[in-house]
Amino acid sequence: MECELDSRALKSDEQLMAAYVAGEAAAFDELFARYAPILLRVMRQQLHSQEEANDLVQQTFLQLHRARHDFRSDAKLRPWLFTIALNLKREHLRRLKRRPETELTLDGRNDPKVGSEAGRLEATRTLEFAFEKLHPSYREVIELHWLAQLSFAEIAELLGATVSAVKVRAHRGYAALREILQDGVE
Amino acid sequence: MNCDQVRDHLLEGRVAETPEVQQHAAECSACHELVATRGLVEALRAGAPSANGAGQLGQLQAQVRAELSRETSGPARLRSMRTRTRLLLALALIVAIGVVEGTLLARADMPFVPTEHLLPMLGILGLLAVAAAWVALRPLFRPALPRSFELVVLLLCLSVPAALSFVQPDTGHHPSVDGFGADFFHHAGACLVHGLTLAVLVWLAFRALDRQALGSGLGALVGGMAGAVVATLGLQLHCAIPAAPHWLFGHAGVGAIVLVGLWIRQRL
Repeated sequence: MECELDSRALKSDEQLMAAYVAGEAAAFDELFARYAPILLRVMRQQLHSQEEANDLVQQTFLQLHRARHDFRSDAKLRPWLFTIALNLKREHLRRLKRRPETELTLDGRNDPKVGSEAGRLEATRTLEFAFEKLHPSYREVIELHWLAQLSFAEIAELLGATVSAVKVRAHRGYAALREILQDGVE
Repeated sequence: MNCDQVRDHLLEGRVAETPEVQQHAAECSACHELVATRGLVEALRAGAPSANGAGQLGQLQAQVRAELSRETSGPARLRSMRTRTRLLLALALIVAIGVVEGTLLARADMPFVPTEHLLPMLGILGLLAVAAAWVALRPLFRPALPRSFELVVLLLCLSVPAALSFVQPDTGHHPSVDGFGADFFHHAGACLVHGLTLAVLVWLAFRALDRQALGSGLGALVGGMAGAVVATLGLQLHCAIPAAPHWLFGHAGVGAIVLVGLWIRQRL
């Protein structure tokens, strides 16, 4: 049993997906264990509600299941899965467009104290505020690079852009993010 | 060190001042910005919403499993088919409607309809219906289409059937024969009902084929409008009344009613 679990953990995402398409339900659980935490991090940005994030992650895995026969063996699963997730998130945000903006200010804030729970909460809110201020195209790249931990090449594939264009957006995005955080804290 | 290793190095909370990181940052502007401010990196690291605890993840996994266990019905199997197969099924439905309307339910003056009118009309409406099906059934693992493109297809689905109302074939059938005067609403109403039936049939089929059941957004509106385009195509083959007011009300009216219906559905 343990050996079986270990062998699944050693398999690549693509091998797991192929196994799932072939009918091995446990492979889906392994994919869930690998990607649910990362997807939750990505979904939590801009959504402010854990429930909405959970719902979108659930939808992402449901869509992965429905699209399983479209998965080509030579394709990479990660960009595939994140395209589904981002499309669902984009659609969800469009539906919420008329919802009033969350009022978050950075006035009087100090640097987050990493480690303590209060500091962590403060840092989360600071970051949410900063992400909201970012241009959507910069935000998208930073979410995928930092929170989803995709490589620049994977982000480029996912967004249909060149690696150098993605790097330029990341450069500008991180610079803008730093500026927002510094302006807010000072 | 490459970009990913620098990011992972920082994510692990390690110092940015190592020679390897500094050397990479000097060559890569994106990573240079990332490591430029230690405070930023700390804020990003601390502020990145952590994943749920193991218990909550387990609960989410149970919900996903429950959702998947419901995916065994006929419609669920249809949605899980390859995208190519789903598009072919949609195309088959469009062709089937065209064949039935053009043969079993064909207009009385069909033998007199000039080919140079019939073929371009069928071609334009058929292409538009296929384009709308392609937009509506596009899988989520593909990058989203630009909204402007979806909007153009939506506008074409609405305007082309209306514009075709003014292009009537000359079959020697005089407008005064029927479809006018006291008969106008009777005939136009019959065409409207016929068209709406076809549009709803196509919409239901596309809804069954779409992996999000034509949930929301412009893509869903385009999916609904595909039904209206196919309805117009069917009515062109079915109705022999060559009068623009009849076609505007009884044929192009289908598109307007479908659009309003879909818009209301999305708002509810």
